[in-house]
Amino acid sequence: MSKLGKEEEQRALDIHKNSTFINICDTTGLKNFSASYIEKLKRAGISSIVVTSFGGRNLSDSIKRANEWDKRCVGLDNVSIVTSVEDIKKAKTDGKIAVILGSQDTEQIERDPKNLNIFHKLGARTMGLTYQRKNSIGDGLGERTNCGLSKLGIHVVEEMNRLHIVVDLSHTGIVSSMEAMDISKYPVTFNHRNVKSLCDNIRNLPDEQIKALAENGGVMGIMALSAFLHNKGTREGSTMENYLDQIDYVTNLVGVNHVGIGLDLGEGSTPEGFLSLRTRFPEFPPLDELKRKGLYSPEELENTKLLAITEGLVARGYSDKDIQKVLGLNALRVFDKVWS
Amino acid sequence: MMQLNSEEEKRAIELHKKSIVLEAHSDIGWSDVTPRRIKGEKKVLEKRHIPKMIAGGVNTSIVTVWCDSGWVAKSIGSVDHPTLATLKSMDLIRQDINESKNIVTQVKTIEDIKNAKRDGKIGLLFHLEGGKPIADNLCYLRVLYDLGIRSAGLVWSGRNNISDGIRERSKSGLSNFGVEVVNEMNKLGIVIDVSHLNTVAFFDVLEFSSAPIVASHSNSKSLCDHRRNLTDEQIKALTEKGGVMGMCSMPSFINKKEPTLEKWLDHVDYISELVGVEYIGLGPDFMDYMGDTPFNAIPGPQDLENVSKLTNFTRGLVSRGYSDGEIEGILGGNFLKVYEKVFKFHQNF
Repeated sequence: MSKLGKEEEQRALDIHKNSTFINICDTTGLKNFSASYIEKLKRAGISSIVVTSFGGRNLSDSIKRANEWDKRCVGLDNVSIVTSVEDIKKAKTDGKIAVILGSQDTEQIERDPKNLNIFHKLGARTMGLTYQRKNSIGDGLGERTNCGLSKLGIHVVEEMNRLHIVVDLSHTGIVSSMEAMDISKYPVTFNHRNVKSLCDNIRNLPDEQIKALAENGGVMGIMALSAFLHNKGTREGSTMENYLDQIDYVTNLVGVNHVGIGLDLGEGSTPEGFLSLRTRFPEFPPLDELKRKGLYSPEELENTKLLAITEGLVARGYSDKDIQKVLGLNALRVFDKVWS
Repeated sequence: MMQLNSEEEKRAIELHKKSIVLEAHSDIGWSDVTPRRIKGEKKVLEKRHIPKMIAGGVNTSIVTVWCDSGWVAKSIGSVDHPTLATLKSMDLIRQDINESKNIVTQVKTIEDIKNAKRDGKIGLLFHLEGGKPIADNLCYLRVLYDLGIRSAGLVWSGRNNISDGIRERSKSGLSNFGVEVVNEMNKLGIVIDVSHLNTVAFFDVLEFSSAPIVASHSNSKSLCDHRRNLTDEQIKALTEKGGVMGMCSMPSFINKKEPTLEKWLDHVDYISELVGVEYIGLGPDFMDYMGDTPFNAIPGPQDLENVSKLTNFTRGLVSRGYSDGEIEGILGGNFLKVYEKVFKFHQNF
């Protein structure tokens, strides 16, 4: 990374401190969501994270998991579960990490849009429509088919709009996500998705979809996983420059208002974990290998040295305002539109 | 109704009696036995269905267990859980069978079917109408096989994680999991029924299934433009793979203006001309008895209002000049041949 002068370094530090830094995809599991992890996040200058607290594959399982998350969050001093933009701002003032609760799938509503209200009542503010595979709502990214939303899927998007839950399309197939963007009255997110033109991978977004996202007013969070950052990432790992290239690309394509940070990193993820994920989803790149070799992610990001992103954006000539947008204001804008 | 001379009459009656008459699609299980037993009724089959089936000369009936629809699953169980609802429905139907063991029996093999005919009992073979109860794990499919599911549709009209059905707004084919389901059904020896699939999924199943498949209740689209009927191209593809299609007596599937028995027989003639008579079976899907469901009680065409009138179908086949062998095939033999082939795919697991 290009060296910054003293003045630029200070500027980066100031921006980083004053920004509302939101990682819209933190993958930490409940097991590792501890006081020490929260301290780590605070040291890194993070204000807010989106977590998958509504996991599970059916209603009762999902609710039970969310209940455990709730208990944990309540038990941690420096954590605040947030359901509004004001909450996020207040958490920052209070020196707490603002935790946004969500899911990466919607199959847990058991084919009944009415059940979305339960998730909303329990604090869910963002939900992924599908996870890689076909469900009753739409096709996931890893499907052999690429179909649109079902009738039920349309109802689900409408009901998520009505309840003010963010529609997340991170693992949703192309046609289904295009339709969801069309149908949703509010901006959507791809809370962890990268650029296909820079890294030709099943999970990365083609330009056409990034443009559609911009039209929709939404935001995509750039992932910090080597395999999704550039074409040689699967073998060689990646650097901060690869990460910044992703941000640059989206900015050049559609402007700076639609890119954010969605690291897809978390505490305590193991190669074994990814290995088991790949058994179920063989279309994923071999992340476990990268993890083993220590090439999983740009080093700085894996060690939560998030200042590196701000410094990188300074080095690449972004204005203070634009950097703040990337770090959190873009995501905040979307949350504000959907939640209020 | 068609006029037969006395010799033809005699021939029709004898043929009907002699054949294994197989009704390839019947809803009595999910729509009548299940809800009535939930309300506390007993011997529903014996009181409401078996007498009509005996009058119609039915030997085997493919009885659907249907929990692919949220409404049905909910009406059966207290929660919307298709797998549990299916198990419950199957249990209720089996209890009902057990209460009338002397006249009705569950069948799982070709031998069972033949034995039931020999013993003068009606054999019921379980069919899974839509794959939602398989959830996201093939283990449920294997367990359902153990309980006697020998035939299955992949999805009813909407969408599940296997495929899109015929009424879904998007018409996608099989999902990755859907392909796995087809392979597993092949391995188990479960007959795959494509009657409710959209065209893309229909051809996907033909491509991925190593066993012949059936369309248990669908007619010719060229004669009656209903979304559930099959195009000539589909009929050719299905039968080239050794599949059979069951002629459906639902009026809207027969003819929009004149849903008569004669018009129904026209479908038999048409398909027989198109691909051969050996690919035709009987899949009437009678709905005359449906009351407490979201569906109306719809009688079949005149002289074929319900299952007790099935002999008129055979009389019709005689009047159209089909040979004894051909008629025996249409009444059940053709389906039995496919079942036999598919059942042989069964591998121990």
